[in-house]
Formats: sequence, C-alpha cells, structure tokens
Amino acid sequence: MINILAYIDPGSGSLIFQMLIASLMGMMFLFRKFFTAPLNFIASIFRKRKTRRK
Amino acid sequence: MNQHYTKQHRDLSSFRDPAGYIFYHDNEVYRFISPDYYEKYKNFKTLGLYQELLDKGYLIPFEEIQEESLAEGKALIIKPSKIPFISYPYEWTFSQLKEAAKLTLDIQKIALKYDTQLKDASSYNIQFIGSKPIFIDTLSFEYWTGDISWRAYKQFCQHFLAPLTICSFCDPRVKALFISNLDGIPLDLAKQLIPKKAYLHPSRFLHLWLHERFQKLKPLKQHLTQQTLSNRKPSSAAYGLVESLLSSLKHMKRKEEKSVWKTYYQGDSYQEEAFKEKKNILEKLLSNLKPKVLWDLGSNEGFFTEAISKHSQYAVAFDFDLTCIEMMYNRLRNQRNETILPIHMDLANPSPGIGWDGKERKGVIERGPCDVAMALALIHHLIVSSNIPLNKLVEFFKNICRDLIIEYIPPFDPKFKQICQTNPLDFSFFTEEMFVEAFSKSFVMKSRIPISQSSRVLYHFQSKGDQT
Repeated sequence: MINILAYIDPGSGSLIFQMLIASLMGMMFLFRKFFTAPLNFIASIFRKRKTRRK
Repeated sequence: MNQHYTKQHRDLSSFRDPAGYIFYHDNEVYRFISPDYYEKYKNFKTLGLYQELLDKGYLIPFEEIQEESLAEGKALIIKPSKIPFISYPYEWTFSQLKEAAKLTLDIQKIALKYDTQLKDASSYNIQFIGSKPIFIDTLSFEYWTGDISWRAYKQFCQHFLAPLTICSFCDPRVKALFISNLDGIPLDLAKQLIPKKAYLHPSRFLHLWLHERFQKLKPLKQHLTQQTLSNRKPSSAAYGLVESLLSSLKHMKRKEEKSVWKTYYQGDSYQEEAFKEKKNILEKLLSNLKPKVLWDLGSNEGFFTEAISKHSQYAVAFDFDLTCIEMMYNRLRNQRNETILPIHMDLANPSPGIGWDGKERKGVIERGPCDVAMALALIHHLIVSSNIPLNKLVEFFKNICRDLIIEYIPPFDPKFKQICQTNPLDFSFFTEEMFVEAFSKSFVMKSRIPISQSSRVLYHFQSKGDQT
C-alpha cells in the first residue's frame, strides 16, 4: 500500500468520466500499437530503400 | 562540511504541495524535499525516471546538495538551474502554450513507463528558456494508483486543452482569462466560448464537451477516500488517454487576428541605413554594459532584440501585439534559440501579482529589475496612445532597470504625427529638453547619440542609485 500525496482536486466527475471512456481509450491505444506501428515499420523500410538508391 | 541553509526566504508561490518547496539562499534557488516525499524521490531516481527526463531535456537540471535528518524523517535539498525570467501562461502566445501542453503530455507518457504519473498538470509547472519549454516541478511525480484515472486530467484540460481550443477557434486574446482563473479556464466557461465546429474533432468533443457534462456530478464517497491504493501498472487506457489528448492538439492552429504592427518595419518607418546605424549604436552600448538580463520593451517582432542579443546573456522581448510575439516565438523556436524569450504584455497594463495574497504569481515589476531595459520607438505610444504622463514613465523605468537605453522621438516625427491623429491633445510640448529634464530626476545621462537621417535620438541613462 502506498500513500498518495495528491493535493489537487481531480474532480469526481472527471474521474468517473475517465472510467467510462477507459475502454475506448484502451482500444484506441491498442489499435494504434498493433496496426499503426507495423505499418510505420514497413513504410520506414521503403523510405530507407529510397534514400539508399539516391 | 554541511552548509546551513536558511529556508526562510521561501518562494511565495511554493506552498500548495506538501512534497516540498522552493526557497532562496544567497541569490540561488533551492528546492526542499520534505520527509513525506523523500522515499518517493529516491525511488523515482533509482527507477531512472529523472535521468530519462533529464537526458531528453524535458526536466530542469538539478543537483543534490544536502541531506537532512529531521524528527519526521530524512529530507533533501536540491539545487535546480536558475530560470532567467519566470513567465506565466497569460503572457504566452498560442504556440508557447501548445509547446507547454505537448511537453506536459510527453512527460506523462514517460512517467507511465515507470508506473508513475504527473500528479498535477498545471501550466505554471512549465517555464521557457528562450524558446525551449522546460518542466520545473521535480516533485510533480506520483505512483500510478490502482484506478484507471489520471488525477491531473481535469487540470490538463483546464490549463491547456480548453484555452488552446478557445485561442484556436474563438480569439487568442481570451488567454487573459488565466489571470482571473488561477487553475485554468473552467470547462463550463470554455464550453460557452468554444464554437461548435471545434467539436468536429472527436478528441476535442470527448475531452471538452462530453467531459464538461460530467462536471456537475456530485462526488462519490469512494472517490474522496482514494488516499491509499495499491501500486499497479498503468493500463493501456492510461496511454490511450495521453495519445488522445495529443491528437486533439494536432493540427490546432492559432486563429489569425488583424495586426497593424507586424508590418511596422515595412514601408517608410525604417530606412535600411537608419536601421543598421541604430543596431551599431546599440551593439556598442551593450558591449560595454554586458547585461546578464536585458528587457526589450516594445520589441515588435524582435529584430533588434535578435540583432543585439549576443551582447547579453539573456533577453526578454515584450510587446503588446500578440501576432508579432507569435511570429517571433515561431522564428526563435525554428532556430532553437535559448537566449531570447518573447512575452506578450501591454506595458500600459502590465501583468499584476495574482493568486493568494496577490503574490503567488508575481507582477512583472516584481520579476525585475533587469540590468538593461531598452525602449526603442516606444515612449510616444505610451504618452500619446495611453495618455501616460512623462513623470510616471520615468518612475516605471526607474523601478525596472539599472541602465536604460531609450529612443527620443520628437512630435514632428512622421510616426509620432501618425499616432497623434486620433488624439485631440496637443503634444508639441514633448521637446527633447523636457524629456531629458524628466529623466534626469531619477537617472544620470551617460550618452546622447543622434541617429543620422532621422530626427530621433538614442539616450543611455543610468539609475542614480547604480552609478558606476
């Protein structure tokens, strides 16, 4: 157990709201991670090839 | 041998966070880390959080000075690098606030990797060294708690997302609301100012519009008693939230407003030769004065500030035209300049002291005095457009600087005549003799240098209390 030195009011409405959108945020993050990252990786390979040719 | 640090000169803005506070000793800045936070600080350091932030240039560099054993436990004093000039969000342009927002989110992203979080996301935790934003609150980190929420989420929206959206879609001058709202712009107020088209972006709709709808919910008991929670790893939702906030900032541009002054250097105002000559005179004066901190008052786009900045360690450029300061900041940011800070301020209405006791955020005069103040083509604006009497101007300059480089512009100068057109008063009384006489009451005249091909004269005055 840890002690939290929180001195600002996080706003209960904001906390509840975050809990409600958490699954959406999580899905978006995972989507980006598993789909965007490999696409960027492939794109970077092509970019490297192009620069090598130059 | 341990030095004794008297912590009596505590910074007046450093009292809310029980983790520690800032104090001054022998003109240096120190941060006291209280026994409450000591273990956390050591742990975060061991984890490598601070090192990564320092390596990336995100966190202000600091050194550990002295450990102290108090009755409550161990405490520590650290010495952070000194910020040459403290500025506040109501003095920043849209781009400065956006850079500060991006830095806050980048830091939160790194903090999550170490199972920690920013416990606050206040814009006052960011300062600028020239054009570079830097995070100054070393004690702003906290363990990630057992729930899935970022505790500073609301504060981030109030300090960054809401004001940036207003500046982007409504009017950039609305940032002045920071003065009356110490903890950022309340979401219900922001909602009234933000036009509907801003919500076409799903992230902004979510974090501003929908988020605001939840603000009226009454606190639930479980949220008020979340003081002790087990330490857990942040879920993908925590990372997703930061990514989503970052995406809401993307492509957000400042709303363009009309500016008379961005074309000031175009047209007949400054002939190239006169400009060069003025620059040479200033360089000569400043190379002798070698100021640590120079304030350029009424800097316009800062061409003079930049031209002569090599003669001062740090320069702050003030102007009341938001467009000019925005253009200047973007230019300096592209150059990665770390010695000139552009600040938006109306000198006829300078930033006041705000917050608790009116001292939490200092007024601009309390942030001085500077070594050298420069007022080029400024004084006639204050006298004519703002109706400030000359003796009051002298008093103002006396309070803010040791040396003053000021340009006298006679009433028959075309630019003087131009601004007099809308003022019914007669300003022909503003002679050079009168100007010198007024300043001589508080300053000693060191040099008088007329600018050839113009009727203008540059004066170097030194405050009577600081004669060398």
